[in-house]
Amino acid sequence: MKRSGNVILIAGFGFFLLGFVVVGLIPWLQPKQSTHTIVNLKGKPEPVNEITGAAAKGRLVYIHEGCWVCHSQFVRPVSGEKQYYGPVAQAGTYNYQLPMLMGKRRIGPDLSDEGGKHTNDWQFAHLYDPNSISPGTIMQPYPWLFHGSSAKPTKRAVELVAYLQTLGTDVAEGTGYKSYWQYKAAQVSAVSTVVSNTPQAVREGMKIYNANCQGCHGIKGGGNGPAAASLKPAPWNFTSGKWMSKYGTTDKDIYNRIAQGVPHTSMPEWATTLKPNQIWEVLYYIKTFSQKKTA
Amino acid sequence: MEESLDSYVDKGLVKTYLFTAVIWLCIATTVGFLLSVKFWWPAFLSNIPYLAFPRLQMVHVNGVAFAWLFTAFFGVSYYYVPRLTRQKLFWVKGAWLLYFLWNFIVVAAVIEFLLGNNKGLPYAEIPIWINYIVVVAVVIYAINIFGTIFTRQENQLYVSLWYLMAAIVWSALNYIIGNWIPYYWATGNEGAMLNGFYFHNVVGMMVTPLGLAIAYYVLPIGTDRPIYSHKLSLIGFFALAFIYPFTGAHHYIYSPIPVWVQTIAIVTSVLLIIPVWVVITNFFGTMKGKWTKLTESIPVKFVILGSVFYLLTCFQGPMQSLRSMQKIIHFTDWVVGHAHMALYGAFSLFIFAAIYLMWPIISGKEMDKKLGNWHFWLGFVGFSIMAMVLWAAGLIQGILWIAQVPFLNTVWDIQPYWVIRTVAGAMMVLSFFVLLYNMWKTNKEAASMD
Repeated sequence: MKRSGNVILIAGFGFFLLGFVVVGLIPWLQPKQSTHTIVNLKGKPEPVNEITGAAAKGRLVYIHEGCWVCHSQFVRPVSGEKQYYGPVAQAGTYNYQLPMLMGKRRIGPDLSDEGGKHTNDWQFAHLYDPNSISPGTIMQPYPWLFHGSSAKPTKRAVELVAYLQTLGTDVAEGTGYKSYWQYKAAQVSAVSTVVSNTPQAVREGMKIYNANCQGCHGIKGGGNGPAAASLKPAPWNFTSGKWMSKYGTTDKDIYNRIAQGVPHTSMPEWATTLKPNQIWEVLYYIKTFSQKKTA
Repeated sequence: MEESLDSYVDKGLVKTYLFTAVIWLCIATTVGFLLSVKFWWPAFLSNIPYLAFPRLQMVHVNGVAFAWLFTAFFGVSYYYVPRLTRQKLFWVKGAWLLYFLWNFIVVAAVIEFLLGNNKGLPYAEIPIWINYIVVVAVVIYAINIFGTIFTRQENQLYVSLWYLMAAIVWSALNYIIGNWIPYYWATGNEGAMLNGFYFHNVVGMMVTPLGLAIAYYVLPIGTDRPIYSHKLSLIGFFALAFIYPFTGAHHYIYSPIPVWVQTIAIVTSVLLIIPVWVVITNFFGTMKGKWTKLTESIPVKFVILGSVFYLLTCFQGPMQSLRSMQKIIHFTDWVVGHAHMALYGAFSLFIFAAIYLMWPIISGKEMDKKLGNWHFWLGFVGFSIMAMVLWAAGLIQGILWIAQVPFLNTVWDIQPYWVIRTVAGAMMVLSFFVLLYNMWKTNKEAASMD
């Protein structure tokens, strides 16, 4: 009868609005939900900066190009994400964001703490042709953000990279470091040898090198990978012994270069991405390049 | 009696809606196929900005949800509402107006996506100016359906009509909440909560009730016996209405949104087992003693396979909302497999069942059964392979990430699975073209008979 129709209408409205109020509106009233303060890397509360200027425009480019379709922006407190991506997401980080860009997939890696991880050079080279730096990546190239080469970014590319460089930098405020990565690199101390130099370790090292290093340093370690031309200063050539002399020749020194990255160059720190044993394996593999030369 | 029920239905209207819907299905899934190729051949179509991966991804997702499912839901409802109410459609011109408006919305959204214009909110990507038109469209549809139901000549209000009416109300509320508030007002965490609320409700409170309305309509006709229990229908409906609105936050487990909201989402997600199993008990109860229909009748075949997938989706869903599962599968391909099982496995199959039931009546000629079986098996096998591959790939990704394997190395490890996914996806797309051809052929032959 007609009444049953009305019952359904009222029930439909009622339950739905109840759900909206309970899980939509009540949390809004919690002060923790709308805070603009986060705890920095040294455990002190710090206000979050609202992004402005070029970075704010870059955020619109990030939305327009659909970066958020493949990249998430929240680090969970589980599954070892803290070790891999950076500090666990805090509510305050997001509360100036409209719309929020937490994302839903990781077709590519999380970008919560991308700021300061790579140089602008690196970002431009990677956006122009991701495969040149990360061989085998499935990321979409964005040549339309450039005037024909990675050295000539358009205004939109500059804005996008300005935005990427702000991501996750708030946790470093008040610590004396510019970004989480700089802070992290300073924490890395020489790690004792956890893997010995065996053919097995070299093979493992080759796998990691081919995925993560050859884009800049070249498949044969010649410092001439596809992305090398875009980077200043140029990546190291491992085939001659010269590269070692600048930073010291012991394994420990080399280890620290890989783990901490090299300031003012496109060499990022790898201590977050690679575990100590993996860094040792890569190290052993890198050393084979110059051995072949002398042999 | 059958003849008299037929006279309530505007056949041309239903035919146009359904044919358009299946064309959109073919287009949206072909785009999905192109996307799957990009996973293992990233250079494919990559230098044309309009065909960039993220843009096509939005076309695929919104195309399947809004262009295929909703056009079909509208079309099928213009068939069963007049028959169940013994009343002609309240506003036939309104239904045609909706047809043009809806297709305008779809075309406009596709163009905007290809140009890169989107709102940046998952599943609410459609630009805001189009959202206004969608609301107008829903109002037109609501006037038509409520008008027909409130002036009906049949006293009994069958369960399909409850689901339909409720779905219209929920759609309107949910669409407004999900598209406007997180875009203009709700920042950060609040935005995430409302986005989760919205996009789970698109599936749960828009697609699910509209799909179940169709299944409830098709099954008794296909099996030629009344629905097993009206009491179960009632319990299933109200359990769905009460539980679903609380589940949305399970898309943001372990994010900075309040832990208690996440917990409510997990608990209610597990509770969803109740309405789902009630509905499935009702469907399988109706089949009792009629299981031979499964081999004879194509509509029954589709509706029962859809029910099985519905059961599986809605068991998988609650399980994957648990925190222990979330640790592994969140952000991975697993979730994509799950989404396909809901939207293809359950609800698209219900619509296919309705098409095989209705098309002979509205076109005046039986459909080609052999092609119908090809459609069924190609889709079934293709989907099963695709889902398995995505779940396997998702578990591998999740476990490799926990093991701290560098991201790029994990991409390499998954590549073979993505190739298989493309092959399986191609089978599904092919099955949709078979359906389109079958509908076109039937219609053409019917026209030449006159």
